[in-house]
This record gives sequence, C-alpha cells and structure tokens, in this order.
Amino acid sequence: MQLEPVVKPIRLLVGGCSRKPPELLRAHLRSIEAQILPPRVTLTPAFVDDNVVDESSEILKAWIEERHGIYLDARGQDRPAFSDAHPVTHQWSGEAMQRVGQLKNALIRDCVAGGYDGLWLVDSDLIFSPRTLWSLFYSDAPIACGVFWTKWQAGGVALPQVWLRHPYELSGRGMEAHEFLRRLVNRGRVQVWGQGACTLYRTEVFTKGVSYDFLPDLPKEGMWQGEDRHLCTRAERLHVPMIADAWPDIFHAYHPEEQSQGEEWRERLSRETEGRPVTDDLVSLYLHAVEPVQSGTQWTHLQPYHVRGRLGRLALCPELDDAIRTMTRGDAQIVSVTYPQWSESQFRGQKRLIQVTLVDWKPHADPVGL
Amino acid sequence: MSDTVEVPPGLVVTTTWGLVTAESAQCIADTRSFCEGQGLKNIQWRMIHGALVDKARNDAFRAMLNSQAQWILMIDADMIWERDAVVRLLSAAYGTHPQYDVMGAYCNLRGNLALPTIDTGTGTWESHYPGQGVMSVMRTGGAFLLVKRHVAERVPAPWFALRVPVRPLDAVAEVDTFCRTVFDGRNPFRGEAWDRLTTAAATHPSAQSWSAEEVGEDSSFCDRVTSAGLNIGVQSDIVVKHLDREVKDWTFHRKAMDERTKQDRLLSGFTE
Repeated sequence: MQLEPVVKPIRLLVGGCSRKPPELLRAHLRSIEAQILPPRVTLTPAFVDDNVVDESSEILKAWIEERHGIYLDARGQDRPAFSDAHPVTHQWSGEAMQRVGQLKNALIRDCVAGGYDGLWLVDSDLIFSPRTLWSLFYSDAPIACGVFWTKWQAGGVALPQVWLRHPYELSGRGMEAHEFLRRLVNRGRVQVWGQGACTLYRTEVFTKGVSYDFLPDLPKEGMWQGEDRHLCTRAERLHVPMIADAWPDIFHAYHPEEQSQGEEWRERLSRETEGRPVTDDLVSLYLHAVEPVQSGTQWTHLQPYHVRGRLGRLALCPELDDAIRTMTRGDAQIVSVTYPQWSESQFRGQKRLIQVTLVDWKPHADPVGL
Repeated sequence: MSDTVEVPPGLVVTTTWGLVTAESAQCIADTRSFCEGQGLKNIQWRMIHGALVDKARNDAFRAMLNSQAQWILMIDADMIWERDAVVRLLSAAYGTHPQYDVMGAYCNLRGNLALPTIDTGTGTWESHYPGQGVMSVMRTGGAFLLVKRHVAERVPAPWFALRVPVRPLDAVAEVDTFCRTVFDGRNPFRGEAWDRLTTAAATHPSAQSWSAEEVGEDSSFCDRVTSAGLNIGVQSDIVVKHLDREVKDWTFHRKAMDERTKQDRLLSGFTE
C-alpha cells in the first residue's frame, strides 16, 4: 500500500458585478479564462448580472453555466442613475454605488457560505494578463489589489486606482505622491489604504467583518460615496492590511472609445515570454532566510522578503543572481550565499542559506496605461 | 619613552548654567573612579555654575589660579565620554605631546552636520573623523578642554568672551592707527610684510561683503592663545559625544522604518 499526503485544494471565486457591452465582456471573460493558476488553485466564476444589453447577459450566463459557477440575476431591480458613456468621466450617483456595494456583498456571502478560500473581485471593464491572479496570490496578503493606470479625465495623466488617503489622495502615510507613484511604476508591492476593482480577498477578512456595508460615520458627498471607500475603511478599522500589487499588466477600458479595444488588448497581454530571465528583465521574487537570526537573546525566523526589480540591477549576493537566471516561473531553490566583504550586512564574509522563489519574470516595459 | 607619565595636580571642572544631565553626571563619577584607580589622586573635581558660559569658564580659570592646580580640564555638562578619556588626555598633554599648551578631545557640535570642533586654519569648523591622533589646530571648542596653568598666566583675563569681529581691512587700519598712536606717529611694522597684509585684507572677499558673526567664547579664547604664541592640539582619538535633544516626528519614524526594511533586505540576501 502506498501512502500519499492529502493536498488540500485552494478554491477561489472570481467575479463581480457586470454591466458592460458584449464585446468588452467577452474579452474580459476570456482574460479570466486564460489565467495561469498557482498550484492547487481552482477558480469558480461568480457574477452578478446587472447588464442592460441582453446579449451581454446571455454571454455571461452561458460562460458561468459552462464552468458550473454562480449566477446572480440583478436585472429586475430598480437601477439608480449611472452612466459610463460620458465623454469626460463616468457619472455614477451615490445610490448606484451603494447598490453595487450590496450586489458585491452577495458575492462575499456566497464566498463565505460556500467555504471558498478567497474571492477575486474584478470589474468587468478590465483585461488581465495571464499572470494577474498568480501575482496577487503570491503577494501573500489578506487583501491584494492588482494596480492599473487610467486617465480618469480624458486627456489627463494616467493615475492608479489605489490610494493612500480617502477619498483619493496619493500622498500621506509617510509618503509624498511622487514616491508612491514611483513605487507603483517600478512594479512594487505597496501598502495602501484605498483600492478596488481587481482584488483578491482571503476569506478570513470577510469573517472578520470586511464588507461593502456602508459606514454611517463617513462623509456622504462626492467620491466618498464610492463603495470601495467603505470597504477599505472597514478593513483599516479591523487592522487588515491591503497591498497594492503593481506587477500584473491590466488594461482598463474606461472611456467609451476604449471599450472596443478589449479583444486587441487581451491578445497583446496574453503573450508570455518563455524560458529563463536574463539581465534587465523584470523579476518578481521572494527571498526567505532559511536560518533564524539572533535578535537580542531570541532567535527569530524572518518573513519572506518580496522583491521586484530588474535582474542584474538588484544588489543581490552573486549566488542568488546566478540562481535566478537558471529558474523558471514558480521555481524555488535554496542557495548558499557568501556575503561579500564589502556588504553592509552583518553577515559579511559569512555563508547563509537563502531560499529564492521566482514568482514571475518578463521583459522590462512600463505598466500598461502609462 | 617611559611608560610612566608624571601628571601635576589639576582641576576638573564641570561648567554649567544650572543643569547637569544624568548621563554626564554618571560619566564624571565613572571617570573619577577610574582616575583614582590609576593613582591620580591629585585631582580636584568641581562644578562651577554660571548663567553665561563665558562667566563659568572665567570663574573656572580663577579657581585654578587660586589653587595649586597646574592644569584645568573644563567639561560641559551635556557631554558623555568613556571613563578613561581624562587619563588618555593627560597622557597626551604630559606624556606624548607635551608641546601643546591647550589640548581638547574630538567633540561634535549639535545640529544635523554635527561637525567636530576642529579648525586647522580655515576659520571654520571642518569635517574630520576620529582616529587621527593629535592634530594641531587654530581653534577648538571648550566642551572638553585641558588648559595648562601657564596659559592662564600669560594670556590676560578675561580669557573667555564673545567677540564681534571687525572686517579684516578695518582691523588693519585699526592696528595701523594704534601703532602710530603709541609709537610716536609712525607704524614701525610698515614694509613688505605689512603691504602684503594690507593687500590681502583689501582683496579678501570680506572687503566686498561683510557680515559680522559672533566668535564664540571658546574660539575667541583659542585666538588669544594662538596670538600669544602658544599651541593648541586636539587628541582626535578621544571621542567625546554631545547629548542633544531631538524632535522626533514622522520623518524620523519614516527613516527608522526604512532602516528596518533595509535590515530585512540585508538579512534576505541583499548586499546593500
């Protein structure tokens, strides 16, 4: 008789509240379908159909049924004023945003009730590169949000959909706006206090109390009405950190003229370079010191250290740099490194064991939308 | 050279306007204990109050002159040092480098740059680091300063006083006038050297733009010591630290968090 370890699958829901034209919705769903899943992960669709175009509803329903997912129909409800068709920016009323929050709460309830491990909540006007969920999963955070860049005002500058202070401030929390933006442009992993639209939630945050229920003590005007502000404030009050993950490339079809470009962007983003990373490629990895370090009289194990940067330009111990060049996506290696004598580390001249995991790599390029 | 250094009786004075930090008090106690353990029992240890620092320092000099002390070591009440600092300073002043009449230690100023009080001839505090042995200087600070008795006897009192300097060109004219006044209407120093001095003062940037900045009581003392033909040194191997109050705000917190992140990087395989 052969004994085999039981490997628990990781079940994730993916979905959102959908109300988009058929062409864009089709490209959006295809980009979800093309996701390369981390080991043991399975993905089940769960969407709220809030479409106003019958063809979009048919596409969505058929796609979900094929995958034995969860289909929630919200088409019969009263719909407060909203519009995505304005030539300058979207026009949504407070009631419309509150309603969307309630629809997303329904997905949260399904996630918890179904015993899923997490919910990847996505807006239907996003087109994802195939490693988007992969990167969010490896971001190792209770709430990890994929970053995309949007010209919120037609002709304006592109800005991210994550922020540091409500309702939408890109400075604060010890950072100037330019520092925050630079970290994101450099594909960093940055703690934020405001996010939405492409977020992987681990189920435990919902059982703690994170939801889209409106908080009565928040301001009620302008951008404060956005359902995301209420969820993010709840997360902050519950001490649940939110991480912005600027690694994946995501296209946001925000303006009316961009909605027909969905399929073109899906094709463009689906191209993945095979092989191993070389000098100047962007790499996403994490380093884990295998041996504990002494802190006072205690020995402690360090948390994995996430790194994003360009291979050859990271000030890594040479053995790590060499090892990364032999790895493919998802590989992990324990490397014996000798800190150089000129290193600033307390371990200079000493050997240490470091586990390196190559999460992803790609040729260097600016994030999509910039 | 003999391993034994003969140290005459002396006076260690803590000068203060009223407060002595706990850290400085601990250093004084430790240092006294260490000195006595080394056999240096001919040292008086005193504290001299003065609302103004120059008054306290002048009072300290008078206390030396009214005693048998052959040297005085002035220590500011907001400094900290190693317990052997006084022994090492005496060893330099009376053993390895007896040619110096005044000898200080390596002390840093308050402020972001924390420059050491070392001026080797530029007229300003210069960037130097410890470990350069005894350095000849034009000026140093009074925070940890040993002065031999003959200096106080040769340089007239008051030894310490803030001074508002005059423009060098005006100073030359002043000296010229003084000479003519006291030497029967003529300046006996006129000649090639005097002409060079006049030209230097006239062409110096200060001749065009001059803002008089006060010269501190300790720098002013050093100027008078140097002017009297005496020598000042700084034993840069003895590090005396300045206690300072620091306003800690979010920028400090940010630096600390950045440093913590850097430590995590270094422990995870980064070299810098």
